[in-house]
Amino acid sequence: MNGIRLAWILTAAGLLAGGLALFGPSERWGGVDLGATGANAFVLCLLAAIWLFSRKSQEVFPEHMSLTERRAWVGLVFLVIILATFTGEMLALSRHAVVPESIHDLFTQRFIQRYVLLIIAWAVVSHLIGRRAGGIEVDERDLQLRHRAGRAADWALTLIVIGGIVVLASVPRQQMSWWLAPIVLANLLIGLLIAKSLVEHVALAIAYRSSGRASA
Amino acid sequence: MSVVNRIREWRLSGAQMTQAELAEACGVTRQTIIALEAGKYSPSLELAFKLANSLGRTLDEVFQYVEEK
Repeated sequence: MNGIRLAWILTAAGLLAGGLALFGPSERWGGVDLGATGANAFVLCLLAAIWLFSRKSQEVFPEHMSLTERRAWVGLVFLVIILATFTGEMLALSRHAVVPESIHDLFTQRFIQRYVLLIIAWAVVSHLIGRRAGGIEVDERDLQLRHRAGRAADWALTLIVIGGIVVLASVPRQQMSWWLAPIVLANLLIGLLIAKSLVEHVALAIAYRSSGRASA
Repeated sequence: MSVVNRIREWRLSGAQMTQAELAEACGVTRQTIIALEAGKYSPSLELAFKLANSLGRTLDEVFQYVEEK
């Protein structure tokens, strides 16, 4: 099986497993804990992805893609997974009758472990792509596209912060009590970083797609 | 795009280089040469000089500025 087909199969399996782990039913289904099974399958998919990029990274991406573009697409996939993790955990937190009081509790929760796992996997895959590609990693065009994407992310961050200020100013304090709990605020700040990074990677992927698709 | 170039023409007819060879000579990725030849990227002055030197041409033989109306 070629690398690109394997990459698509792994992406689909990873999304399915991640979806089950985050949004699957809480009760057992036919004696099987779907959430735990999904989480384990997801970790297997991550390990398989690392293997794939260590062995066949040149086959996974089209030949015309530069190293920075390849990394941008990998980053986009990981950020979508991180955003899904964040959404799932916020939904889980909203179902808690009592929000944990201490920020310390945040770091003992499994979702922080998930973020760390995903970020490590992302870093390993990015490193493996670079190791296999060789040659020039970044040139002035890559830097220019990155700069443009960074500006789009700055705009997105500004808009989200302004939106937050409008919400804080317009919603009565009683209705905001859940949102203002330290652990929820900490999660929202994590969400802000994820959103900024996601916009940056989407803008970078679009910039690469619209720049340089001519034949050799 | 107000800067047009003849990189592809000089590369194939004059220097007889591949995109990869030109990219290596100029210290950029092949994807940047593809974008330049497609007119989707305007290089920095430094890269423009490197391209002209690598192709064995002067700067104004490779790049022309066309005023937009």
